[in-house]
Amino acid sequence: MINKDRVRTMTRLAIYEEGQGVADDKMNGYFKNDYIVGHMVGSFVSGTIACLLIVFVYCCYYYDTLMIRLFENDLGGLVKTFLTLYAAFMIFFLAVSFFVYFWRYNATCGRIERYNRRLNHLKESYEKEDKHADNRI
Amino acid sequence: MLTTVFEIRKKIIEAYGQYEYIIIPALKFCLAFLLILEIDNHIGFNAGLTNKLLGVIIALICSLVPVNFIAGILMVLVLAHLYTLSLETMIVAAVIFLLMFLLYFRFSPKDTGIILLLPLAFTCRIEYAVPIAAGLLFTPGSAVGVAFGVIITKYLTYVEQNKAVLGNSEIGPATVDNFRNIIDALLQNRAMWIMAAAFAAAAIVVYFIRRLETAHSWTIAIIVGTVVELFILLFGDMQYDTNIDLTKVFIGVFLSILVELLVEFFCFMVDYTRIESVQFEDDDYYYYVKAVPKVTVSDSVRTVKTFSTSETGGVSFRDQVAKRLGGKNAESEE
Repeated sequence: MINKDRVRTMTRLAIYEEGQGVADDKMNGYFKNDYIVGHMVGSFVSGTIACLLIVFVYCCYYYDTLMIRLFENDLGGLVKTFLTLYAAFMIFFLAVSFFVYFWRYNATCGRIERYNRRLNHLKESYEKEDKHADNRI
Repeated sequence: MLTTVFEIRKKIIEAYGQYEYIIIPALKFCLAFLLILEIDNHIGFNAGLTNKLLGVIIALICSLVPVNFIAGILMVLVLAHLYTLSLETMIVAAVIFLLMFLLYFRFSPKDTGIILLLPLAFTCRIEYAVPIAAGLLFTPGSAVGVAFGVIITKYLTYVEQNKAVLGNSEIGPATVDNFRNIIDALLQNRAMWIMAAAFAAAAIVVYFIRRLETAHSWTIAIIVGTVVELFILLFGDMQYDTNIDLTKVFIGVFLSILVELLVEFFCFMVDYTRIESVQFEDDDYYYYVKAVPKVTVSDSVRTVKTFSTSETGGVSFRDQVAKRLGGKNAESEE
């Protein structure tokens, strides 16, 4: 007779393995710190490129004024403002990145734990059945 | 009546599960093709790219790749059209796309679908449904995606409306002026910023309300989300004189509510009349669990048997029944 409970567990395991499990398995290969630091480096690069894009737009917009200030050698204040804004933005962006990847890693650990629990449940179910069969013999 | 509706729902979900491998590529194809048609109709400045056959080929490619790639392909198509119009429009669009990918999709790559659906929703006048659906189905982070979607759609609308002016420039000092005008138009488009804020706020509010443990949380979330959208839009209109067309807004909101209820019907159908509260304990905890059963309908098994005189050897069905009943009666009498 079909063991409904076992079928249910196996289906859940299969759904997880073929869906979210693939991404989770990849993440599981990292230590928490390596994972978070790795992604934060990526966020740093992304954030820096985004800032450069904004600076590019700013330079195009204030092209005339910037050229005049460049000839008058008066760009020091502007560069200082840019660097301050860049630092403030990067602190915010990296903080958001840290929380996102920290939360994501913890959520993945939870899912893997749940998966392992189901796997153990399945194993126990088979062992129970084997024991039962041995007793009958 | 209600049972029939639930049976249809169940059949649709089952069919989706069974033919998922065909339905998903077909949906991707339709989405990509409709978007390509939209792009061609509104900003189809490059005649070579508006070829329908090319559109079908691109849509076919899109049907085989993940949603993120579809977004990438369509963005390249948009940039190619804008480049044909003028370099400045293309640069501004490229900056918006790049900022979106660098700052937002880095964290939430699964929300690309929202950006793709929003332009279509604007065409069908159901744009108010998108942030609420995003709040119902995704994370609060989708608010950023919705806001970016509004900015992109409104920017492309601006380009379409001002194509005569924007396309009239040559590389040189005029390019910088044109660029400045585009940035000014984008930053001073208060209607766009208010709509982006309204949509983002609605997505966040909907997410937090639908996660509440109260009964009918999804329906409440839909209503409150719609009210938030309307409130911010009307407040923005009063404060900044954005000249929104109230009739269009109310029609849009009405249609959007219908779409949202449809989303709820397919994604979250539970029976609040049969809530069960259970309480149990183990070694470490006491558990107070509220279980809300999903609405399910059992398959109605209809077996149709046909009887004909030819199949029963010339004896009619009525005679057969009479014979069987007679036989049974006789057995019972014995």
